[in-house]
Amino acid sequence: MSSVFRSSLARLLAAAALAAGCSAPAPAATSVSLVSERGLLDVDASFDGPVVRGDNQLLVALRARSEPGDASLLAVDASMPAHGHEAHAQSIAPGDDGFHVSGLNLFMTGRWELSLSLALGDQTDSVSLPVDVP
Amino acid sequence: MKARLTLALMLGAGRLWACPCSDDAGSATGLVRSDERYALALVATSRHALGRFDALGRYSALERAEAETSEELLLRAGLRLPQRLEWLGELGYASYRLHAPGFVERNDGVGDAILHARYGVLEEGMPHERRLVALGLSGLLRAPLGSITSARESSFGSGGAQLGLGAWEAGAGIELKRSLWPELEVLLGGEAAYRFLDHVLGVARQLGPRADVALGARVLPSAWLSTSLLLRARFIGDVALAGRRLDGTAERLWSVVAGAAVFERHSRLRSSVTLSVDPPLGAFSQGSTAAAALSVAVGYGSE
Repeated sequence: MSSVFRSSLARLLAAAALAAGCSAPAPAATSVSLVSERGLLDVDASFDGPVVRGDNQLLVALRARSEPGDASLLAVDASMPAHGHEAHAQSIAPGDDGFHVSGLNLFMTGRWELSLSLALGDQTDSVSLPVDVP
Repeated sequence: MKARLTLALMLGAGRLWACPCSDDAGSATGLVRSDERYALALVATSRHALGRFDALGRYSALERAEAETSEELLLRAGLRLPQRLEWLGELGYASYRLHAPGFVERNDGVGDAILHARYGVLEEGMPHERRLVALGLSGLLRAPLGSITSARESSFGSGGAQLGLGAWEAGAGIELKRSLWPELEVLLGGEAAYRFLDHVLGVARQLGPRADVALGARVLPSAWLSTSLLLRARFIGDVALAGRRLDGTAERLWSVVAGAAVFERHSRLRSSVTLSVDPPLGAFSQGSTAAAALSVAVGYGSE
């Protein structure tokens, strides 16, 4: 094999690795504390047990950060944006400890992006978090 | 789908072996033989997912109640003008099905339109010459005409873009070939592509850049038969949504592609069969779907 062939192979592999970023991502946590996009709410989101392929449940607790008003969880949507896959929570029930979300069917293995639509009074906000489905 | 490049590559059977780098995400493969002006081919591909690698590289096989399959008919038309420059257009129609507990989806439609240009820069020299490697350069442009662009209520599949990427894509590739013996050729190819910002999900989305590297060999036991075996690695960067890069959405996948092709010189007819498998093992793949794909192609060329 000529030196041209060998050097070309090395360059191609290096370029491909750089292009895609070969570092492994950090595992997505199943219990997280976040601040909403507009800074209106503190959000604690915890899955009930490990995330599974299929229906999942989670608990979402919301606290107003500075402005007064009733905090609410409007919708929970999940997506795999590269593939166009989407999933939506079937039920959101308010409770003493937060909002109980159920019927979130993460039907495919891989990383999903979970998006929570929030409201504080008449103001809307959102927060996103990654989820790993084994 | 996975195998369509290799298939087309064998159908082309030109002097410069085309890169079998990309299939569902575009290609730089040849179709028109070096002694032809036009060529046309129809490729039928059936693809069945075996399982998926998660973002950390852990593999999960599909369970009994799960399936992700697609069938595609791909029309390829090529023109060589001038002789060293090949223009190639591709358009496919696909049926995609996804079954999972509590979720069923079926989507049929056309895919993206893809235009390739391949230029043979150097031909392989004689043994006594210093120029031992054939060199080709290629470019591609993908236009998002696929069904995904107009029907956002459904997804377009993981690991396959038969129904469209939803984004414009522009890329370039390089192909190297060397004959070790008259009956044996080795190939090295690479292709990189940039995906432009799109709004197919209703918000600004940018797919990560794609890079493919392929290494393979082709055996020519007779004037009318060729067989090939290829290893391919694909890298796709993280997706950005609403200006935010989503860590863990990158993809890596390696594939084994084997094929056989027949070319009949007098009639200019050619046919081939290709099997592509993404092995569900190893620590390389992540964030991608492992699948097996079987392709059958028929083609015709004219001087």
